[in-house]
Amino acid sequence: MDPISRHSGIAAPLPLSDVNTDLIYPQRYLRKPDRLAMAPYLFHDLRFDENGDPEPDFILNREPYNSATILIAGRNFGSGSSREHAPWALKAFGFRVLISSMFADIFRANCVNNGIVPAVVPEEVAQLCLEAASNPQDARFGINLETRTITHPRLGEVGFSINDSDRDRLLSGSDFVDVTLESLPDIERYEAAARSAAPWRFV
Amino acid sequence: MGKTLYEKLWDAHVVKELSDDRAILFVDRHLLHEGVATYAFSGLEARNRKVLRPDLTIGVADHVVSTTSRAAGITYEDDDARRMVEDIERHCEAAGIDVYSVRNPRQGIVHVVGPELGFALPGVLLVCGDSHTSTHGAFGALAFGIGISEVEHVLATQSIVQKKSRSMRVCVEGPLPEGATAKDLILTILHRVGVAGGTGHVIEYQGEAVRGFSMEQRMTLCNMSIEAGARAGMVAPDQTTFDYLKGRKYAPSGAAWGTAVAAWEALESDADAAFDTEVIIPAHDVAPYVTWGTNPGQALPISERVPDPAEFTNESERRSIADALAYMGLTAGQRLRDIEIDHAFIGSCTNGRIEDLRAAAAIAKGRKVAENTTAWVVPGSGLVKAQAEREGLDQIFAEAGFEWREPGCSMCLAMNGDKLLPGQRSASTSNRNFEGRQGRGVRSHLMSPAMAAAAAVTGRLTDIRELK
Repeated sequence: MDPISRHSGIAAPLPLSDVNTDLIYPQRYLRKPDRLAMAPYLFHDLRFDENGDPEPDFILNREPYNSATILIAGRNFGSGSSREHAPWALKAFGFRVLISSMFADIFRANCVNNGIVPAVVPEEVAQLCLEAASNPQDARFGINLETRTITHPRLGEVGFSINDSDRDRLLSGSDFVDVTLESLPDIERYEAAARSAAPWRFV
Repeated sequence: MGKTLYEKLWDAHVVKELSDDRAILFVDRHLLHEGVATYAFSGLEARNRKVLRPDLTIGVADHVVSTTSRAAGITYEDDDARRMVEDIERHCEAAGIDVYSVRNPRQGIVHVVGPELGFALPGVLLVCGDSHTSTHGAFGALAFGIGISEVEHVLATQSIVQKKSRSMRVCVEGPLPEGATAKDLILTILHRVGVAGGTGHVIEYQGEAVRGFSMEQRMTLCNMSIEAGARAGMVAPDQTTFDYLKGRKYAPSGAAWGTAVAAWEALESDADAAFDTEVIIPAHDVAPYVTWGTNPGQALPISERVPDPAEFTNESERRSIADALAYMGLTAGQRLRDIEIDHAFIGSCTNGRIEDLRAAAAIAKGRKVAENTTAWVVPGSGLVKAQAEREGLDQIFAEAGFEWREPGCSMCLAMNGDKLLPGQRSASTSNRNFEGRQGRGVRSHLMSPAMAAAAAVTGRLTDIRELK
């Protein structure tokens, strides 16, 4: 996983709440095998009309937001299905940071596992960020994961929250499985004890 | 102070405490479906990793499987779908994982097949790369959905790294009124708490109505916990649970059965356990419900009218109602029971079990599907299908003009060729009414199996109590 600590880029405002993963990545594209080639399906039904032509009003189809790397989303972003295609497509499009007042649990974990920063801010801060980003001249945001801050010429410096553990993993880019495999002896010890105490748990 | 059931299950599975309120937890049971297997196994292969404990995982094909007749062989929507089914078969066989794929008579939806096999047990930690894994909490298990990177992690390490959730108790006081089902109860709860109301929580369902539920009903209830944003839902095990499990393939047998039941009997929240959030639902508030909007919390009793955004003061609420009405093609104030449908879908991991099909057949019997309406019944598994055929339910459906199909996820999520056309309206027993869920531009209304069957025979959303 590619590590991330500081990031600066265009932030696209998407002021919808309860955006679910079906909307982020429609299920009819779930069979696409290449996770690096999923950008065309991101927000597909919002981005394209029924003939496949870009919807001119959709934020990611407009300059400068078509090159956005930060997404400012409404509350409860990424709810619904556990599909990891949603963060894969966000990443393939170029997003490295998502800002919202609330992320769905599985989606947040999926983001961290793919090197995307899920930055949580209070609802009123999210509204300020949405407003600021909606002006193309003010759309450039900076993120510092070490200090957990968002910097913006007009908003100044505002804090965001993220678990220490998620932050550390994003900063180091360490492989999730490799880290746990270091604890394999603990897992084996646990299993031996559980097997004698509760044999019914094992097939 | 006592512990909640969730805390007991958490504590029993901690391999190692980590920083930040996290722990490595041992995974007792892992369910794999073909929609995630392709990606997870290719990830393992790329890093040259092995499946650590193939005996604690089973594979099932469901998401991309076609539900059209298999009499002349299986057809697929496209080569990608075929490849996903072949992938799970090939990888599971190579790793030594039991797999229930399209040629197996038990094939069906992972959350229907798992319980039928006795794979979900009280007290276990069960995961699957699917958000509706919360279904298995009905057995008093800690069961939750995970992402594909996490599936890979479970395959390689038989463990999962989790942060402890908060706990929520939803207590249903009194028995459900006539005509109301577990589906109506969960839609009532979602209407009350909202689609983010359970975020960061594990829900335990308690109360008289829940205790009185069959395993099928408890699974329906727990299935949709994720729709409230909850990590998991659960019901403490009891005699109903034990009776369901006894004799099933992976359940303990012989002397081990008695040991297991003795351990399972202790699995409940202590009387003095504290929950972070408490919700009380008076059961007499539960009525036959339908959704009118584009998330499962946008639900109302069938006797009500479509809400009017103008009556809401909160700007974001007003906007989300207006957006939902626009997508759904509905008018504020319109009576729910006047909404005409094109299609009824009875099936899914929420409502594709034998009791669900019995409830739908009871309404279909002696009636006919309305003109200009099509109706599908998709059994949740091969065993459900066979049982329904033994009971003659397929005949009842056929005589009423319902289409009787092969097991699979089908039109719950429209990634397998089963979908509707833009603008079409569906009465669906599934769990999500999101935009595009049953096909681009399709309008979905969620409801119980009896309500969906009633909508099929009248051609409009219908109060089941009118047909009694």
